[in-house]
Amino acid sequence: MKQRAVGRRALVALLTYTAILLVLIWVLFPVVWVVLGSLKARDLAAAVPPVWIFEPSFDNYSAAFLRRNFGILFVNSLVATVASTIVVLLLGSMAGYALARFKIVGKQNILFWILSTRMFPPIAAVIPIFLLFNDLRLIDTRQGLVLLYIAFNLPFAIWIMRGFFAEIPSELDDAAMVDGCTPWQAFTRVIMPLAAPGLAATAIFCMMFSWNEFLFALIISRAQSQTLPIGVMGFITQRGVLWGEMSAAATVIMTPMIVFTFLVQRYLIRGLTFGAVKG
Amino acid sequence: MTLPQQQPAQHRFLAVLSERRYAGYLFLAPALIYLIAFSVYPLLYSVNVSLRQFILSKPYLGMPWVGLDNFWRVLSDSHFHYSLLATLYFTGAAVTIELLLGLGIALLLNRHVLGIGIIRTIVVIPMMIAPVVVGLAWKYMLDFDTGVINYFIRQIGIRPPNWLGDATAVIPALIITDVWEWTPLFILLLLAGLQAMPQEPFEAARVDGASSWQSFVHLTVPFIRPFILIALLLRVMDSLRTFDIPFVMTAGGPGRATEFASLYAYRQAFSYYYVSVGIAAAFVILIIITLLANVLVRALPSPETGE
Repeated sequence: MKQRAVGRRALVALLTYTAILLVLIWVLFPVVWVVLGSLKARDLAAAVPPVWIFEPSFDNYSAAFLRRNFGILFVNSLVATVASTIVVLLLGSMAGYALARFKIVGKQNILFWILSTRMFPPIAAVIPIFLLFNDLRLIDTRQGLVLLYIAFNLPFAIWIMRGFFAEIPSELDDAAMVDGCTPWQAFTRVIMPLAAPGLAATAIFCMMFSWNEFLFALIISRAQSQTLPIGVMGFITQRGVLWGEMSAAATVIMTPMIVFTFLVQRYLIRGLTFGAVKG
Repeated sequence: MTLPQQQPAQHRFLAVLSERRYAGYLFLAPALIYLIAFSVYPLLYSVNVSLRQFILSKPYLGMPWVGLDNFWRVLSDSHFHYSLLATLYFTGAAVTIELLLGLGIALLLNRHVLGIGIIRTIVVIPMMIAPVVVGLAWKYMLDFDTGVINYFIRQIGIRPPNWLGDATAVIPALIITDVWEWTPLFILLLLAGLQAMPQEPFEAARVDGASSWQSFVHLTVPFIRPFILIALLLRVMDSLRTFDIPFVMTAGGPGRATEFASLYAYRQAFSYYYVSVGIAAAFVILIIITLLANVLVRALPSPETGE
């Protein structure tokens, strides 16, 4: 009797881990396949039957970066991502602090209005923004991208930072102000250092959204301010797709985001639900 | 706090900042002004243009007032009807599969698995990758002649579909791609729900002789309901305006088989230059998303009491 129970438990464990293995293969296979494709020589990337074992080559990377100017696109993406994130963190944490701590008339309405700006379908926002940027000569500039990504990420940063500030006991800023700090000093010297992990997680999420953003960049960039997600489309040519080079560019785009995933794993749930669920 | 009148302006400003009564508004103002500029302007501009005729390639025509003509034009366009139906079919099918698959995998990972931390993080990777890259990766794998997926299908002796070239196979191909990218959201949220669940009711139910199916239906599902609803809300809203993946994988084709609503609006505005028609279409999409989101939000406990 007892032996049968042990056997049954072992069988259940075996099935569980087999199923988990299948899930992991399903999740990772496309990523691995693209990385492998990026390391294959030109004639092997789309070979039939598919090649599994080959001598890795970095020709696709050099082709993408040297012949197709991917370096410039990389810089464009980096500038748009980092510059917008810095501004978003400053404005977003100030607003999040205000909404977490101070008496503000119509606070709930303001919060839901901020959230609703993200519900607006990008396709509806992009047309007037295109025309406005055309008038302001911001088409095809990095500044234009930065301005857009600030607007795009600000609602997220406000909501998520408000959640982090709400977790810090308000006695701390009260004490600082009793000791003669202004609210601004209490915010920068007492609260911000305590919220540093939240700030870092928020920064990573904002960088992800900007780095991966496609529609706005598609509409407002021509040649000068193209970002990586737009550039990677260039490998779809009239004569077919350049799979090897495309995979190399795709690998460059996704690698930092995969690293980020591991860095923010504690905050994943919170970040992906606008702070609605605390994981 | 009162300061002498002769204080320079800068000091007076700091004094205001130091008053708690106003400080909140000053902290909030920069972000709020920025957001108002970037959302109210496009909104007002869009409403205005949607009621006029505006053709980007023919600026000499000006912007004559046409009332609701653009909306009638969109609502009576059979291509738009098709694009709405295709969007709903895509969203309904993809989100349903994501929910069921996500729930299954979340239950699997909730079984006291070794290395759950690392597994949970790996499982989330697809949703962190740029949709453009996800689309291209699956375009690579789903290629009719050279794709690795059709290679496997041929190996087991079945004639593979021309995923992206055949009007009947292309929406399933996009659903497969969307399911890969977004099932992780359901896994992550439902797993969080499952792990927050108290154990006592389950033990009590077992003592009372409930089957595991009964405790799943009567205990597990009600408990994780808010998590399911949040995930559904996020996904339905996002999926109805899906753009990047069909844009890179099919560009709306073959023919107009995958011209989803966002793509329809984009093409009206930027391929045919009928900007006002594109905006009208975008408003119709916005109204549909808002209605569906309201239904889902109503089902949720309020965020203030639900925490």
